[in-house]
Amino acid sequence: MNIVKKNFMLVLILSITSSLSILNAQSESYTIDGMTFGMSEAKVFQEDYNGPPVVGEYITMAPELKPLDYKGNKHHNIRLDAMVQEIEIAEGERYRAWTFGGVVPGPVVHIREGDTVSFTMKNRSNEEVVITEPINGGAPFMQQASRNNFRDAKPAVMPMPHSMDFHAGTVDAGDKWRTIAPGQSIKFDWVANYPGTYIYHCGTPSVLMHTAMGQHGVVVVDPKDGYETDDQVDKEYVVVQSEYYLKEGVGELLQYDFEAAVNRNPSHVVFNGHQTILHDQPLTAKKGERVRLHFSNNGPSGTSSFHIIGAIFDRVFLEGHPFNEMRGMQTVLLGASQSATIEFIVPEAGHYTLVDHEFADAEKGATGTLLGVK
Amino acid sequence: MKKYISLCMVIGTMFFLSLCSSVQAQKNMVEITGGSYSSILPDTKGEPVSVSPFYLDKYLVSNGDYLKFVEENPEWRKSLVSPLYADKDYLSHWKSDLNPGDGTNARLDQPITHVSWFAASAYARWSVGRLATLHEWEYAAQLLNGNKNGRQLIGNKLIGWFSAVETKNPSSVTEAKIKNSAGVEGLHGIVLEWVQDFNPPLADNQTLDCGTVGRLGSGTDTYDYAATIRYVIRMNMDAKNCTSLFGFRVAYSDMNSHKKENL
Amino acid sequence: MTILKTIIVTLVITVCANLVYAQHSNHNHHESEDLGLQKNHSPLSLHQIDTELTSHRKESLKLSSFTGETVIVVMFYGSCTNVCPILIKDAWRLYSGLTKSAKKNTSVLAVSFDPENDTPEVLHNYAEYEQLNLPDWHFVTASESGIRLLATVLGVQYKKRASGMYDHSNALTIIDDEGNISKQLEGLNKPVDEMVTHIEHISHQ
Repeated sequence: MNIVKKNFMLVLILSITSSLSILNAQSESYTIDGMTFGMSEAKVFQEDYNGPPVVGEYITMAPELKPLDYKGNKHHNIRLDAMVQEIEIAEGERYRAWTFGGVVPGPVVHIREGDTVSFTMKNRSNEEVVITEPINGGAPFMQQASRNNFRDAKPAVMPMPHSMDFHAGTVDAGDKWRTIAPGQSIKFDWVANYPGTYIYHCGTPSVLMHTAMGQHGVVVVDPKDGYETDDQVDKEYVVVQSEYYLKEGVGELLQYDFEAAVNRNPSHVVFNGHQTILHDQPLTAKKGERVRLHFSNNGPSGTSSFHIIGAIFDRVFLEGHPFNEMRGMQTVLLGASQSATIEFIVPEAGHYTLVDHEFADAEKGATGTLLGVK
Repeated sequence: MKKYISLCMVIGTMFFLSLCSSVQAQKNMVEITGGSYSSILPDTKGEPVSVSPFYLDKYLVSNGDYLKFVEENPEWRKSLVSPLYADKDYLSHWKSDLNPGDGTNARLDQPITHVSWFAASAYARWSVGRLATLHEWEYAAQLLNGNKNGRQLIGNKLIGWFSAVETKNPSSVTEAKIKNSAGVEGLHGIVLEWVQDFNPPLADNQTLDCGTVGRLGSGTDTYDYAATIRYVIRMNMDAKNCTSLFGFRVAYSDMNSHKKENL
Repeated sequence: MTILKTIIVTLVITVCANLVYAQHSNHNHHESEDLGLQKNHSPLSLHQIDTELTSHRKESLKLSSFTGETVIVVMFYGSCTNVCPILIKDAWRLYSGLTKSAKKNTSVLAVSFDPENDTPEVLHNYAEYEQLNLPDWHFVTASESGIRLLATVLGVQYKKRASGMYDHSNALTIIDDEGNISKQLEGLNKPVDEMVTHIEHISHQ
């Protein structure tokens, strides 16, 4: 009896271990230093999707950032559809932009280091997509876009191939960042292995053209253990710098100026996609408060020497990584697609001007306001 | 006597007019004499591509032309087309199967759009022709009077067109904004065109990733830069795709229109 | 001694059972990676393609001639010395990996890109040379437009060079008994296990 039992136990243990080892061999992902790599292949497919172009619980319109109200890691289901939208980029100046989610820069995605993102994108450049009406099931971004329609966005159509490149993801670009035709959709997973503020943009050639036409945005990835100063931060915002290369087009609209783009001569350099929006709708904070800015220079080609007049940056985390901490900077130099998480204390009530201190940029619009109140 | 003479004259005129119309029909094909050109994606790097003589429709296929096609070929009508050969946007700009309607891009003289590669190929076969090959089309497209400045200007116009393409109301097929030295009209700036091998395999170490524009050497020549964009768009299309951006025209290997291709 | 024997036998059985389970779960896992075309949608069936194919036996065929059978489709051309021999060998590895019952209901369709050179006679010599002149194997030619149509439906890219050689992509495509594209393996010299399992699976339905 005893021998039979022993036999049975041995066999049971052996079969369990062998099944586990075989099952493990099936899954593609693996970990190194706690980071997850090896996502499964992207799927390109046709879907009959007419719903909101932006889906995801923590997706907002810059400068707003929705705080992560969960602990540990989460699996996000995110959608950012590619589409054309006619938007205002400066007073009286409009053009038909190629976008994600209908705005330039695209919607701000907020996740945490270690989170998994299942991302879907439909190339809706061949259909009119309205973003200014409240839609059920969309991200917080959709409500903001309809309530705060400062761009006076109007749907438009320009069927073009597009793709998505998340700098926050570590994957085979040939698979996940691949181009899809108008009307097609793509779906893939990625894990945010590193904290920081990372650009996302369309990677279809000519990338200069696709990004200058408006297809870029940011993902803010919170460090898994946060920043040292988290408890002291009172306000948190996202500011994205980018260039437009526009000239007179057909009728009242501006259009892409290829020669200006190739010669690095932007017509407008702006914060959050519009020449005056950060003056018309300034950031606010109280005297003595600590403000955290996730600042990204999305380019496509320029650099930014970011400074706030009257303030000194108490902390600067280059690329948003807690390890890359610098202290006491007047100006932060960022190359195209670089970012920094910047903290400063509002010293007095008053007017604080955000600038790209490369004044050729500032005078083309790279300025904004933070109102310090009592 | 006079009656007979006038009758003969009438019949003679009618005969002459009908002759004119068949000549007219033939006039709508343009002979492309063949030669070679520098392609941005050559078969062998650094070598020009040779193209044999062929014939090309002078004009893009129009809504009016396509209407005749679907009248004779019910399986290609909007409500009957096979999902193997076209997506749900097939002829979406037409009112119904045999009625293009009043839409801004449904006029009979405007180029047919919202047709898949399969539909374009079928039309070409029905016309006892074929779609041009990629090299044939690109060769014909760059016949621009050999003027270097002309090339640059056209390149500029094209890039501008790509970034602001207005597909809702394309110009008539007979309105050629950019003149072609072979006499083909509307190769640039109205719609993009399906070709036989719109997504050819890339030879060796050629790729189409984000560094492409520089590597194809198109940074300096705006015509080539525009061509790169055109290649990228065309190569990323799906054969079933029906968009407002793509139309087509028919090519022929020879003038012998009695030679019917076996399906 | 008996205990040791029992352990060894049970271990062998368990490992085999796990391997079978793994194959099966492998299949389920990858089902979603098929081309997404559902089996029952005959509107997407390739049997509606009217292209006339002429085989190396001078038989006149169409895709609909294969109704009720599974077909492995491969595109190649006779003058291709580097790549196509490997691809044809891949098709052979797939075909020969099938069980007898699956083979009974499976044909191989090898379509040439090169109608000018690969006439039925040339294809017959090719089949003989490759020792693939088997009843289930059909080396075929068609009109230029027919070949282009088939390749486009299958997603196979090809281009003829001035030299007469062809640049082309490589794929093995499985078409089910209703003519729908069921699964595809792109590339050269790839493992064919999943394709084998897939054909077994659809043959038993």
